[in-house]
Amino acid sequence: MDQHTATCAHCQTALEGLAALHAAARELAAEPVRAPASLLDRVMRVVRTEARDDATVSLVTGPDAVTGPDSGRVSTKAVASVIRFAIDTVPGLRLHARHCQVVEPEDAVDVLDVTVEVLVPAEHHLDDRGLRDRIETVVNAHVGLGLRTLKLVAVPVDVAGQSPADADHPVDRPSAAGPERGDRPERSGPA
Amino acid sequence: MLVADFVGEPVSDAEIDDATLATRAAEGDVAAFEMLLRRYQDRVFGMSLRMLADRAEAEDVAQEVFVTAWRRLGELADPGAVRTWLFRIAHRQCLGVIRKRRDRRTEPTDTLPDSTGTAVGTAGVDGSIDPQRATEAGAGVRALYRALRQLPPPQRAVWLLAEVDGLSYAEIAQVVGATEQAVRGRLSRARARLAEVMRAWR
Repeated sequence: MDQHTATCAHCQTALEGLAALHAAARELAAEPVRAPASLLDRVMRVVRTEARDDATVSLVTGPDAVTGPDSGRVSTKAVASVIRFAIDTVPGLRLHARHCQVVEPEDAVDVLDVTVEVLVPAEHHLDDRGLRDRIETVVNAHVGLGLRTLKLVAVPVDVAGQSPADADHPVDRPSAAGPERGDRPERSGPA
Repeated sequence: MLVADFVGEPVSDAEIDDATLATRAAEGDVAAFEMLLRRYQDRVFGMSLRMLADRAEAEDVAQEVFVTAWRRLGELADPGAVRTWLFRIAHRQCLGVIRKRRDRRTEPTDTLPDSTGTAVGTAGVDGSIDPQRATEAGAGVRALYRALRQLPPPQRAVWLLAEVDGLSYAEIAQVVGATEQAVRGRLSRARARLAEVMRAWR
């Protein structure tokens, strides 16, 4: 604080206001605010209802196929979820599935065409064959369908979990360094 | 491989980044969307509550934000920006609620004491009002909430996003749909006004 600020009544008054604001702002920001439990229930009820109206694939085809609303069809999104889960839960690895497209070919039955993007931490070596086997086994066991094609797209990520594609938008990701840090508003307080 | 292996290791949502969750949710993955919801519901609700000072309205806004997000995630060009995108939807919804209040009351809400809400600072963890916390809540914080209600809503939003949510100028500019220059101006006006009120309070 310079000589003027220390002795000027006007500056002292202004500093008092800033100090009071600073203290109250810190306290306010530290207050835990939790969303009510009902929020999650309300939102997920809507989401699950809407998710049911999805594109589906037949689980049973051919002459034995049953018709009607419960004719053994499963949502392609549900199949994609099963595949993503199989990838996410490979023991010992920290893989994550991202895009996953499941298509029921028009010219074949009881099989699916799948394309899935896999985020692979840089330090991991992806066992392509093992992962394919795992996905096929899981889809077969849980959905009862085979895979005609399975396209695995490996996306390397660094240890921070950031894939190169995301690096184009550093502003929206918390970063430890770089110009963004200096560009963050200084929280209010006495100078 | 046994199907039992499928269970593998539990998936911790903490290690799945926003971009991955948002991409999955945009493709209709309900579990991924629920992880996003759990990750951001407190922050979206908190921002709405501090903007509106009304728990019921804040919950309605937060619900609308996430339902809108579920329906429109496919339109989000950069899934990694889902956090600022959620704040953007919340910001728009809050300003809409404030506008409706004004229309109903025919007087500027900002000059009125809050008549419907409970003090934000007295809320318990489960959303109920905890009498003990009510007495513990600092008088300074309550004075600050009163001061915030007197700010024009766009200034209040910018101040909250900077001070409480810790967003950068660039992020706030995206959330409120203004230039960074405008954000800096609003923030400094908000701080000056709040400091003035807080000085008088003290």
